[in-house]
Amino acid sequence: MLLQIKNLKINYKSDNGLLEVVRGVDLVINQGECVGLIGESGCGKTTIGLGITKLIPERKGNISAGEILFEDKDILKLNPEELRNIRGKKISYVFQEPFSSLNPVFTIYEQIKESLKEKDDADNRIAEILKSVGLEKIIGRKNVYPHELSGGMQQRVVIGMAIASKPSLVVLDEPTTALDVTIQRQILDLILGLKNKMNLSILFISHDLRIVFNIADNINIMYAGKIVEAGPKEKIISNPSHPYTMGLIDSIPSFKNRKGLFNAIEGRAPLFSELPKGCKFYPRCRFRIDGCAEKEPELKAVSGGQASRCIRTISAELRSAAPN
Amino acid sequence: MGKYILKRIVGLVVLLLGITIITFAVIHIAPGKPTDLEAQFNPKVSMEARERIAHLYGLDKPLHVQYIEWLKRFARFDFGISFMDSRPVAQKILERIPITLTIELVSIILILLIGIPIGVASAVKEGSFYDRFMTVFVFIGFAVPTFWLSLILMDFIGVRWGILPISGIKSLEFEKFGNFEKIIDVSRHLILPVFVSAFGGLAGISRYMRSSMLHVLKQDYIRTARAKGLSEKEVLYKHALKNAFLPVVTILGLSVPGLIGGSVIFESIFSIPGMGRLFYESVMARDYPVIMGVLVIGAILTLLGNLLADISYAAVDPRIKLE
Amino acid sequence: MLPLHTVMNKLTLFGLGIVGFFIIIAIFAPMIASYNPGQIDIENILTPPSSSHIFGTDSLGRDLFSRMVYGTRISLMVGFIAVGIAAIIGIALGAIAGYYGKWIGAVIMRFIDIMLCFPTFFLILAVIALLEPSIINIMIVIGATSWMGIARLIRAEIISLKERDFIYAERAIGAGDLRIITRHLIPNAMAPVLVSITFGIAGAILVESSLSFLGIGVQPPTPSWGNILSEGKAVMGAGWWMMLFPGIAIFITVLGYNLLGEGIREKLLR
Repeated sequence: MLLQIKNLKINYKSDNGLLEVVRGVDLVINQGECVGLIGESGCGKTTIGLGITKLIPERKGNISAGEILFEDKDILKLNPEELRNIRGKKISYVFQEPFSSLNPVFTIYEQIKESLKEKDDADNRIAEILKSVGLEKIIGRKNVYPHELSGGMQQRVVIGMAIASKPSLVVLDEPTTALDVTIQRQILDLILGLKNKMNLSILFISHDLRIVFNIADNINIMYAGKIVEAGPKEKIISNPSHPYTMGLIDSIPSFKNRKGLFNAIEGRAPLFSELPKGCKFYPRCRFRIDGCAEKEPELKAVSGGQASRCIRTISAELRSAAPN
Repeated sequence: MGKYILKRIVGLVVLLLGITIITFAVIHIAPGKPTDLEAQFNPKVSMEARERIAHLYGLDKPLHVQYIEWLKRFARFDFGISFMDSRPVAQKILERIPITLTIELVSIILILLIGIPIGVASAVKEGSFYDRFMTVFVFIGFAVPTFWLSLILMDFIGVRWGILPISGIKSLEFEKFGNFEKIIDVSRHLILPVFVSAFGGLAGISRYMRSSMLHVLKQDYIRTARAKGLSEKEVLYKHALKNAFLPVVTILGLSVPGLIGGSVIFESIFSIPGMGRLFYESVMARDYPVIMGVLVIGAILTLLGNLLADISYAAVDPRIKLE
Repeated sequence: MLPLHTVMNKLTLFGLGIVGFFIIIAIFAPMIASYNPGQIDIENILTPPSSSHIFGTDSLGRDLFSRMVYGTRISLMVGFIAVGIAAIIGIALGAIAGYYGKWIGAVIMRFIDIMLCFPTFFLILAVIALLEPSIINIMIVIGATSWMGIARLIRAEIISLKERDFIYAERAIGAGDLRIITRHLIPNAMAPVLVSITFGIAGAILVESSLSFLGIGVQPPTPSWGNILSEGKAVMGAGWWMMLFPGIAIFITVLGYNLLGEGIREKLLR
């Protein structure tokens, strides 16, 4: 186990006071594993990513409970200096917008150099990094600024900065969402390639199921601040247990199945200030029964490493029988 | 870089022409001829004599001809002769510029040295007592009229407590001082004027720096810098500061005309022999050649200030392409 | 303690209060002033504040408080009208430059650039002294030299507004240019201009008092805070009340408008 998140709770400051946005999340990332974290925008998944190294600004929110175990220590209890030794060096990040992630007034060279733990032999090491992310073109050019590169190249730089100190874990938050579709594929291949070559562990956060299904080994699905389903990729794709997961999978438009209307999940995710009692997916669930609205279900093991936060066990026949 | 400067200078010529036109127009707003004042004090001057004087100054020619003549002389740095003391205008202005410029320069340096750190600290400590206190302080700075501030300082520090001199730039015994003492003497005379000159500008710059810094601190690349494990000092003073400082450079350039205009007041109150006081005196005496000369020189100084600010900005911000 | 944005709201209200306070004083001046501001009283020259003269008297024995109350009228009148003139010029030129663009726009922008090169106070001084320093001239001159910022703001707003759908819709139903500009574009562009106007009033009051202080503003015997202060300078040491009260009045008024302007700006930024 490389990283273990236990019962993480995070609050955000809003006009209505403190809102609990991450309401008790458990997550495990093993060595060399790619763990996916899927959810709609605003469900709290980015917050978890930031929370791992306490990157949430004070004025925005705070971590109220939980443990994050990494290298036999709880990250949440480290002092600032120890925390800085982890950030960027053992756990690094790649965010969604590559252009705004880079400082516009410093050169690419300088910014990559900043990510190096030791600055000796910087030129060569930077050249190596650029090569490993496919940016051979700018090796040796010390005066390149972010705005001179395309979106895809900028993201490669960000990835390069993330792996510069050979971290154990890289957290990627929607790394391809802001890029052109054709470039997305290239970047994903790059990430996979680096993962295999360097035996990286990855936490891949996204709302895009197809990408996560493609790249991850284990998948966690989040809804309204909690994990509602988790398990190995193959199990979840072939046999989703939670109605939300089913809805997500069904709503993927498929080129083969062009039968007309899309299968969107009815309704919208609830606001954190207005969470319903009981199961949070209840208002939109097509398998709901009366018992669902009383108490929020626990995460229950289903089979073979899969778990689901639903009081019903929904068999395949039940699933095909239910109205769409 | 060279092409950029060249292009700017061409644009400047257009501006210069416009400045001269406006200056010329301003003078001729006044009813009556410029020579009326001269002739007024001497009732024995006959109509003929007046016409001779008018002809001498070319005042009987049509306006646009007068303008061209004036412009031609101006281009050769011949600003004419002062009505008040018949000395060349250019000489009078040249005598006064160094003092005014010195005060302005020291003011700007002070504004930078004090205003920027205050603004940065306010942004970093947003919402704290320090920030709130500074906000109030800044608003007060904006609202205090310079002439009132000058008067109060003059009354308390100069007259009642006698700590600093309040008039002129040299003491009476100046000539007897050694070189070092001379420098100290002049400096002591300049303390109050510089303080008054810098006061309002300080408020402005610190406020602007604060909002610029706050804006920068919300950017994604600051989050990246923290995620890289950089120390808070590096995040603030290396990554944030450079970005936040850029727009402030422009503002500095824009504050030059305000500083020059303000010099009229404190130079008059503290009897500083600078350009502002010269302007005031010549305006009161209807000394047109001097008025025109100072107006144009003032505008040129402003232009230079703006040009400098633009060049500095372009030099510092890599996103600006200089072509 | 309160968060900063609440403090700012309180300060804005405070500013509004100050502004309102002085407007009321200006309107009801005759009822508030206890003496005739021009009433000379040789026996009571330069007396310090007392129960009969709360702000003391000046070098001609006139009651300072009453003079200052009437001075409020001058300051506010000059402030409002000067900025009104600046706004009219600025909005008109800015709207033309923004809407028509191209040649006329470029000329107007160049004109603005040229005007901005001059230290404004120099220009004002020169023109006022060359004409005669009457209140009307002061208002016109201040107005004629402070419209540039407003013009730029309006132009920028109109440039971004004129490509919006609701404008196309107006054209589609046959609305003429003038109608589009005056009834649709300008009202929607006014927001940042309001901030400018508020700060502009503060600035105009400062300029008027500076001019009066230098002797080329409001001429005595008409009371203006600026020329009272000028008298205060002449009697420095002998009449601290002459220096204190007018200065405080100017300071508080300007502060009020600045706070109000800042408050409006914060509201708009949300």
